[in-house]
Amino acid sequence: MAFVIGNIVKGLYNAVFRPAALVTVPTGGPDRSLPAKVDQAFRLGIVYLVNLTLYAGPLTVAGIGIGSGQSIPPWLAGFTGTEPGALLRFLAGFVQNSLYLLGITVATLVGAHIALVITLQSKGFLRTAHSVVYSTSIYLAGIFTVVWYLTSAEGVATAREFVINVQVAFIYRMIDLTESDLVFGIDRPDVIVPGEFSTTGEYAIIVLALLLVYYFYSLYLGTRLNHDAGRFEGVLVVLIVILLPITYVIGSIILATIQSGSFGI
Amino acid sequence: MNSQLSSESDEAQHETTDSTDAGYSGGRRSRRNLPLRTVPSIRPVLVWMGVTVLAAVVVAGVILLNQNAFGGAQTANLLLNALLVLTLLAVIRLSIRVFILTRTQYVIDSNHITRRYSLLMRTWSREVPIHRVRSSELRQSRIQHVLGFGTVEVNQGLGGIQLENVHNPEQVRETLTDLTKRQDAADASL
Repeated sequence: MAFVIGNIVKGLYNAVFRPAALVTVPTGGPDRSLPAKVDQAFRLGIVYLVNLTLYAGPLTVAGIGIGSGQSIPPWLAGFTGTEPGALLRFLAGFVQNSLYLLGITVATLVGAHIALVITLQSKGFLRTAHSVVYSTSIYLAGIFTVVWYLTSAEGVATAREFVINVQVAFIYRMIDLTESDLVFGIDRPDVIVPGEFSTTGEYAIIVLALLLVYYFYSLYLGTRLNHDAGRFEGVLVVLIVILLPITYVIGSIILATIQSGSFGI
Repeated sequence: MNSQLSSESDEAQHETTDSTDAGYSGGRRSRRNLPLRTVPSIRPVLVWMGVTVLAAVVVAGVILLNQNAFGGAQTANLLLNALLVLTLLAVIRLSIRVFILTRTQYVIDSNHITRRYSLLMRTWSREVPIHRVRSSELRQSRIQHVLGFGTVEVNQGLGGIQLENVHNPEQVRETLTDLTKRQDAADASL
């Protein structure tokens, strides 16, 4: 027990004060033999799964995702059926809650590694995977947790609306950029900050901002330390990760415009 | 030894380094002055701390003077608070580094390179035998270069030792190279 608590304290200390220690590939791996690489990949998988469970588990228990009384999405109904038992419903909720984090992890991993391959700085996929697994499963999971908190907690209405407004304004900016006449489900916000923040709401936003900074910084550090890359490559990887949501939103707008038949070239 | 080092001033650190550096031009004299005991300087870290605070003040000034560009007074206030917390965390991190560096000692003798530090009545020691030295790398950031310090890393990537912020890093590295060559020659003659 003391060992586990010690490790948690050490992990938190590293997450706040020594992100480099978290994202750096330990000495001796994973550039050795094939079995060593397989072993390293397996360890990374376990670390990621544990962190994913630590993130998605409490959310599912709290009823976020597929709670009782809610219908199962069609893509999951094929596996669980439309009226699953409690355990299957819990598992379906867990899978749904994990998907956001998993999707962004995969996109970040691919984007970051492509940037390194293009700049001829890659020292191996597992080295990228190491930094991405640790930075997403700690900092990105933290970001999602704060967002979930803002979604469900009371007394943080202004902060919640602020986060939504920022995202909606971002999507409208992309719609304007693509000159699409697509109508988004939510109206364009008149103001980004709808009123005075409560103290808790303000703290939550500050934590969110700090986690974002840590997330990008840990990716930068991981690139530089694990691949012996320069500042340019480090910044490039961060830029590509920042561009991922922009690309995703623009892609979705173009797709929606094509599907609605109003896409004029 | 460690308790003495922890109370040493930065000036004293230089004396320790310089007195031994003099004997590190190789040959018999170098052998006589072994072991080389030196402590890392905290000056580069203190400069970093100053740079961090200065950068935070500049960014805060930019935000305060251009509040509308950052979405109004409320979002500017949020950004300033986030910046304040971030700066505080960076200063705490650098202070911890200073604290650890003042309790660290490097020893190079004819057989080993040792990095040792004591904290809260516990001592951590890492040692690399000279005959196991495969590589040594000298790195100098701009701040280290201006202040005349550098970091010598032995056996990078092989679980080696980092001699951080040492004075006259070129000489320390030459000493290591000299000792390694001597060890290789001794091994070859056996």
